[in-house]
Amino acid sequence: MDKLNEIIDKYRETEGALIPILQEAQEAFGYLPKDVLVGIGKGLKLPLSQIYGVVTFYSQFFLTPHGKYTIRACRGTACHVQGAKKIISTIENLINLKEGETSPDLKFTFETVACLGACALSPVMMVNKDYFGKMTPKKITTILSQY
Amino acid sequence: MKINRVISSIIEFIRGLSVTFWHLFVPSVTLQYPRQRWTVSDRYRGLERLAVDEEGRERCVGCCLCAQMCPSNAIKIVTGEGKDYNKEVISFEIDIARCLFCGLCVEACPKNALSMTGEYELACYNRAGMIYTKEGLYKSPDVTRYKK
Amino acid sequence: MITLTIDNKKVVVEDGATILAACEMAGSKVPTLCHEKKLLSFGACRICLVEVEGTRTKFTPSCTTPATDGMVVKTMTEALIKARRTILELLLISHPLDCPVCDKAGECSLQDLVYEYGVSGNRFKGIKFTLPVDHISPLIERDLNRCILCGKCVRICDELQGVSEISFVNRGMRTKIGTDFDRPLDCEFCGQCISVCPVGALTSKLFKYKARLWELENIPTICPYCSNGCTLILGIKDNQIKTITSHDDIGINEGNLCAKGRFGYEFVANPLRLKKPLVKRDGKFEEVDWDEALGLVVTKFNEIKTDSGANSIGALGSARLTNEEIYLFQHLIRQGLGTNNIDHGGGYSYQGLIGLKESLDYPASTNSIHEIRETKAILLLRADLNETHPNIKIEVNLAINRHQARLIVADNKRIKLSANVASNLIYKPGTELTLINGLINLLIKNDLINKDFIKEKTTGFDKLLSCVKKYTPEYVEGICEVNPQDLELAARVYAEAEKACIIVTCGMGLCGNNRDIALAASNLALLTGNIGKESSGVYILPEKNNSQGALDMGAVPGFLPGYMPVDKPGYSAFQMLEAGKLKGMFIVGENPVMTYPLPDVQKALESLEFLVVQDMFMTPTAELADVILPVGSFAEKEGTYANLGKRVQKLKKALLCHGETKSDLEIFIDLCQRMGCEITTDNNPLTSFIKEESNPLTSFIKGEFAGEDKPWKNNNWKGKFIPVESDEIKTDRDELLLVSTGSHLYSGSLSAWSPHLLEVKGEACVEVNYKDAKKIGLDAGDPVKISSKNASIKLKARLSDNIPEGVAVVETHPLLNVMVLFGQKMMPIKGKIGKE
Repeated sequence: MDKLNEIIDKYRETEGALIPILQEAQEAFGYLPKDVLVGIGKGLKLPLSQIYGVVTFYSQFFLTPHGKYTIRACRGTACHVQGAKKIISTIENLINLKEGETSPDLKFTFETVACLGACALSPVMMVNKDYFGKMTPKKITTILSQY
Repeated sequence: MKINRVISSIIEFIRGLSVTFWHLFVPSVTLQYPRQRWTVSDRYRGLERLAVDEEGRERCVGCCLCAQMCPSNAIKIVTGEGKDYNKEVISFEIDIARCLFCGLCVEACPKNALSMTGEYELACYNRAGMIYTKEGLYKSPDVTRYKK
Repeated sequence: MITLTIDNKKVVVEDGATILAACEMAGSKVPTLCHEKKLLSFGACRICLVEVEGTRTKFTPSCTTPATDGMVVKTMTEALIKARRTILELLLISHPLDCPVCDKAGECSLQDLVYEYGVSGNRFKGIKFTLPVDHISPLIERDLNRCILCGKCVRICDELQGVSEISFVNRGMRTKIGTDFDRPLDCEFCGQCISVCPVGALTSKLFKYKARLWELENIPTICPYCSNGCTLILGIKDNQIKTITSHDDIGINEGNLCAKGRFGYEFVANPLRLKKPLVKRDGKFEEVDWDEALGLVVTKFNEIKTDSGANSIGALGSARLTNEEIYLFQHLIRQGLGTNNIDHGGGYSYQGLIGLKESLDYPASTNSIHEIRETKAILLLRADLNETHPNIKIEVNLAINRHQARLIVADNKRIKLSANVASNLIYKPGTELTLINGLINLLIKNDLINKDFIKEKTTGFDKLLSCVKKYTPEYVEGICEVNPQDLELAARVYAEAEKACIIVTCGMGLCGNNRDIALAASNLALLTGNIGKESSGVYILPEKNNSQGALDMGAVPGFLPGYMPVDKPGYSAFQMLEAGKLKGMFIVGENPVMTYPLPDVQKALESLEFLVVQDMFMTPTAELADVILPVGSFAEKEGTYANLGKRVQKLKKALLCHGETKSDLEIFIDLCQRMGCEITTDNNPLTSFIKEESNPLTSFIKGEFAGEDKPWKNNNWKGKFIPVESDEIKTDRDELLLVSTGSHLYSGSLSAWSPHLLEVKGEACVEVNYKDAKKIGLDAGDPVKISSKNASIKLKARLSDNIPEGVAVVETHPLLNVMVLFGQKMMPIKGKIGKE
């Protein structure tokens, strides 16, 4: 909790600092547990319902523990045409996770997104902050085995 | 002149009687009620009836639109919260003594719960008997073809 | 000023007005779903589209677009109708069509619009939501499947109520209105969200499936709970109150209600209500007719009067009676029985108003309620408005949010309004006077006082000066435990604002130094010249609906109606309840056993020869009575209530009498006639009291508002500085300082008989700080025994950060007399808490 207070103190004078605080808190704790949200609410004198509204609005915030590696597979139009469905099912089979799930050992979290903004490389997937373009089921196996 | 008038009046009299005589051979319109029963028209508007759906549940949800439409305020509905937080019709009463049998209530019903039957024998010894409760209305005879 | 053309009609509107406001002025009806006059524009529903000539976009949302000069607006064209119809169709994709069972049907904005625009089918297909309906939250039912996401509930909860219990959750198609982590509601249950919901997503549980809205007869009347005097609209069917609503244009509350007003009507139809007069014979109550009961009352009182003198009879009235009833009651006691032993509210709850009378010569709040919202600084002095006067809190929130007012909270604990304050002064309980004297000292030292005003309009400044000399910030810190910087900041915020007001609450359940606090507040206001100005002054918020009227009408031992002096003051409430002092008592609408801070009330009442109680219910006090006279509720009578701004408002009779009950007025008239004291009115005193010009009551009952009577309009008026000081209370290390606080949903006389309000209220609690709890070894919810030198009672423990260390806050509760802890003086007292 001291860590949280440090973060809040850093932004105490700034107006509208909720999102940066949430981001830093998530970085510090891995996800946003209820206690952290309550703490932020007390620190910023914001009602908890509003903070919860912000957290659930942005897909970047998680309320449940998240895996060490987040795999994001694109299912946007271009990727869909290039066979994103197959890519997604391959990933699902490989790490044995359905969309939106986290593995029990907290290693992987699998998400699908509407577009990663790299349609030229479709089908695309991301692991944490690294892009992987022109995916094939075979490539996936080699990529995932790196992690 | 006088004779002419007498004759013509006799002729008219016979003509009149002939109509009467003719009707002795026409089938009678009068019903020998109660030995004979009247088969009502398909569109007859008699006693109201509440219906159940295919699964035997009451169709009426207690929206009170029939009560609102009734020009003679004959319908009284009391609703409340029943099982599983659902709306329950606690009582549904129609005062037949006030009912005009206009059928506006049937027109208003959004759930096809209310309809008119061919029941016309509604006489009763006291006023209280003219008030039909929910139980009675669900037991009313079959519907006539008078529908929306 | 802006001139624009709407549907070929020229209108002139103020700068900053929206197109929608202009359309309303022009008489063109523009449909809205998310717009609400009291709230800021939001622009969520897009149904209020209009066509503006010469703009690049085809349609313009009228509720968020400001009007500009020379605009040409069309509100009803073929294209607009088509667009609006499409919007409705889109809304209907997911909206369930369960109008036949929806409790909003008949007043549903969506239903009305769909009907008006003739939307009979839907070109779009999609899934209906199947979100679970919230059946768990008390009083409010949330069926989010019906929600159209207009956000009105979220905004009213935030902007006016300052609670923010609900918010938009999730995003896109999955957006819904929810609480944090989807828990059930745990808020103030004001039901304001219900009142603004355009569809049936938020409905009242008390009204659920009870009737259809169009069947109800709507009768406006005045709320019987707090002194704000809100207008309630009773929805009556079959001689029963089915629901209570409000209307934005009717009454001083502008359509805002609190939990008590909106949901507290169950007592009217409570089956436990008394229906016939009761007389106690051989220890048992027997039902008798009115003639016998009233005859017995008169003969018994006359017997006592001839045997032991009129001074052995006493009477307690209630601030819940109407003005007319209180006037007749004191008439009956003073003329009929010949004694001045009449009081109400424990004899201390109205002392704040008396204090103002002494210093300002005006025994009421100096300004009207709506002026609060335009003030620049507000000092809440022992005023936990969320708990006691929820609708005044709305004014404070409006002042802060819309008019940039700065708030100073001075209380003995952290209150809900403390969230957005300029300065938060948490003082040690009972040290209010020291704190205010400290503020006065700072103002004088820093030369923040209005010298011209003091010189021209006040007397006694020198006395004040010598009194506050010793109250240096350091001295104040020693006693009140308030940080000198906070104090200095508070002094600056209050004094530097061009107009500032002070809000103080008074009443039973709060500390007993009401008069002194009022005087201290008025000293502060006089010092800064904040009297006689708009949006400034001192607000004394009394507790009950007609607290102001009860005082005006002279239900006190020391004044006649209209504050005329009395030859020989009678006993005060506490004196009357000393055992052996009186022989007979007449208690109307008050419940001393449950609400008075005296431990021996029961004994005193038992020792009486003859006790008459006039009440709606069999209260613990009524159980001790010899005769009980059952009366009608507020919905069953006519009369007037005076609210805290001295506005006199009329009650309307909405229901037939309950059983054989009579209204208090009818009983008093009957008793007056039987006792042979004259009533100088026509047969119907209800109307003639108000009409008759020669009546002594006319001067303060007349008209809507006694604004013109304010004494400072007179040039010779001078406010008096009356210095006040208090003793210090010291606690030992193992003791806590007990303090009582008025609580929302409390009053006992009505709310104790409304089961749903009690459910929300929960059990009687004592609140302590986490650290103290740890010391004593308490967990939340533990049963505790709390004792002071006067009494000891059993309660549940509640732990909170909001209570300072060393303090235990005992909340008043309808079913338990917690006041006995405090004794006659009603001041914070040393006490101990132990685990039971």
